[in-house]
Amino acid sequence: MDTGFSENTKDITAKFFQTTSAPNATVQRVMEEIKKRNEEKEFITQFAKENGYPVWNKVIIGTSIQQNNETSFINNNSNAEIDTTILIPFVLVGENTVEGFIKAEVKQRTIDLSYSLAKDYKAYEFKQDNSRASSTSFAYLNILLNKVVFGVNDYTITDPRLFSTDTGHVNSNNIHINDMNITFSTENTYRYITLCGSTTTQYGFCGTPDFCRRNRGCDAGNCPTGQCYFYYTTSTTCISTLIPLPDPMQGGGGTGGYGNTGEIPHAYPCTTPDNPTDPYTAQSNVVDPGNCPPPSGGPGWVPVLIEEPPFDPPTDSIPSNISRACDKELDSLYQWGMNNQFREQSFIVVKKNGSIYLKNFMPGFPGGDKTRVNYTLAAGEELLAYAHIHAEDTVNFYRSSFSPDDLIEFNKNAYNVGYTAILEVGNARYAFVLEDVQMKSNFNISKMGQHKKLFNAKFNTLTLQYPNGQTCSEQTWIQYLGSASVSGIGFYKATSPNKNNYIKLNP
Amino acid sequence: MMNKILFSLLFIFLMNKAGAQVSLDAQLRNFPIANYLNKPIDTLIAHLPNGFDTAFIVSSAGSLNRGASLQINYPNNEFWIDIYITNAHFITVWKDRTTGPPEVLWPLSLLRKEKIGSIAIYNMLCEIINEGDIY
Repeated sequence: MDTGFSENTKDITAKFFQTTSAPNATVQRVMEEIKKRNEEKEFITQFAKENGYPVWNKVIIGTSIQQNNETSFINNNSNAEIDTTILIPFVLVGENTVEGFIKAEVKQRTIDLSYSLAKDYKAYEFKQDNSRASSTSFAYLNILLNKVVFGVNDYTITDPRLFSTDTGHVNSNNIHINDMNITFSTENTYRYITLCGSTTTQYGFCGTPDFCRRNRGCDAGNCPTGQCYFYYTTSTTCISTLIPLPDPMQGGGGTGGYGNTGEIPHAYPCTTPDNPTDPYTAQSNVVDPGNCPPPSGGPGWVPVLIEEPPFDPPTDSIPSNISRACDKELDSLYQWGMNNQFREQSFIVVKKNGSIYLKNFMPGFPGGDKTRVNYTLAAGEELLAYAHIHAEDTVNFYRSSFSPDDLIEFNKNAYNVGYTAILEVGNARYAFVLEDVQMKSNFNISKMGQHKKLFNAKFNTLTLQYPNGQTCSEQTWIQYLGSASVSGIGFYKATSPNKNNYIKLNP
Repeated sequence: MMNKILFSLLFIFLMNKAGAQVSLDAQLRNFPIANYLNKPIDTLIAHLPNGFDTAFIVSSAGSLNRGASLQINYPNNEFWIDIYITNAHFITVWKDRTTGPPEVLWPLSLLRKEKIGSIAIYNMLCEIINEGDIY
C-alpha cells in the first residue's frame, strides 16, 4: 500500500514504534491509536525529530477507577470505569536524558493522548513547595522518569528555583533518588500521579541573600561571606503531580498550552496573565495560542554519573576511599553544625550496583541528645560505613576523637571486614575500620559491656600526660584498642588540609 | 547412692539457676521501655527488674565533652542498660572532659532527675535485646 510517506518517514515511523520486548495489551492499544492518528495525518516524523523516540519498555502504567457523573450512591460500581494511565518517556537520539513523556489515558472505548516536555516545568508555578501543579513536582516527575529509563540516581539541579523553599538563601544543588514508587488517582475529572520518593537533597546556604542564586551555589570552603555551607536532607516525599487532561473544548487537544505536533497535543499550563497558571482553571479557559508560547530552555536538572571510587577491602586504603566519597559532605555538615548547633549529624555510606553513595542524613537536634543514625537500606544496598560529626565549641573544648558511644554505634553493624565509622571534627578525621570480625568479637566480649567505664578510666589516667583533649582521646583509643592485629579494629586519623590521607594509629 | 543424690541436687540447683537467668532475660526483653521515655531516670530505676548493680556508670553522650548517659549493669555483666537523656535541665551538658571524670562533671544525683530520651538493653554478647527512644 502506498501511504505517500517518504522512505525516511517510514524508517522514522518504524523506529518510533520499535521496542525491545513485547508490550502488554494496553500499551499495544496506545501504539495502535498513535499509528491510526499518524495515518490520518502524519506527525511522527516531526515529533521524533523535535522530541525523540518513545522508550516503550520503560513506560509507567497505573490504573484508577473513574466515577462517572451520573453514578449513584446506591450502585456506585455500575458506572465505574477503570482507567489506565500510561506515561511513555521519549528520548532524543544520542541523548542521556528523557525529553518528556506521552501521557495516554486509556478508557474502555477511547484513548486520550497528550505529551509534556521536561522543560515545561517553567510553565508551572514556582510555589516553593511540593504541591501539585508546582514546578518542582513536575520536574521531580521527569527526574523519576529519567531514573526509570536510565537508572541514574543523582541529579544536579541547574535551576535554583527548583526544590528550594528559600530561593533567597538556599540553593538546591543536587538530589539523590534513594527509592521511589508511583501511584495514580482520579479526583473529579482530574488525574493525579502520586510519586513517593525517598531523596537526599544537598542544599547550599548563603548568609548573603541571593548569593546562591547569583553565584550558582556556595562553596563551604570558599565563601566570601564566611557564612556559606552545604547541608543535606533526606526525606521521603509524596508529590501529587497534575498531568493536564485534554481540553474537551478542543476535542481532546491541549489544556492551557499549545504548540501541538500533529495529533498528539502538547499539554502545559498557560502562564500569561489572562490565563491562570493553575492548570485546573486553565482547562476551562479558551486561550489564544499567541499568548501562551511553550516553555523553552532546559529541564532544570542534569543527570550525574558518579564514578565508583576504587574500593579494595581489606587494606589501609579503606578509610581514605570512604572519606573521599563523602569529603565535601563531611566538611559542609561540620560547618553547618558549627553554625546551627546541630552537633551530631550523621549519614550512612552505601554501595549498590557498583556505585557508592550517601543517604539517610540525620540532622539531630540543636545541642543534641545523642548521635542517631538511620540505617534503613533499600533493596540491594550494602552498608559500607556510618559517618557523623562532632561540631563542638572549639573555643572551650578540644576537638576530641571518638567517644565510647561511637564505638558502641560502630559495633552495631560491624559484621563485615571493611565496615567503617568516620568522624569529622574539623581539623581532623578519624576512622574505625573492622579488620577482623572474630578478633573484634573477642575484644568486645572481653570488655563485657564495660566500654564506657574502661575507656573513661583510661582517659582519666592520661589527662595529665596529654592535657590536650584531642591528643588525650587519641592516645586513649590507641591504648584501649591495642594493636588492630589483636582487637580487629583499626584506628585511623587524617589531618587537615588533606583529610583523606589516613594514617593508622594502632598498627 | 549418695553420689546419685548429690548429682540430682546439683542438677536441680543448676536448673534453677538457669531458670532464673532466663527469667531476667525475659523480663528485660519484655520490659515496657516506652512507659519510661520522657520520664525521670529515677522512675525507670524504681521499676527495673531487681538485681542490678547500684554502682551506676556515668559517661558522656555522643562526644566526649557532652553529657550525659547512664549505664546500669546486672551482675557479671550479663545484661546492661544504656540510658540517654533529653533536654537536660539539671546537669550542665557541655563540659571539658579533660577537667574531670564523668561522674564529677555530670553528678549522678542530678543526672537521675533528667528525663529519658532513649534506652537500649544489651546482653553479654553486646546484642541489643530491647530498645526505644522518643524520636
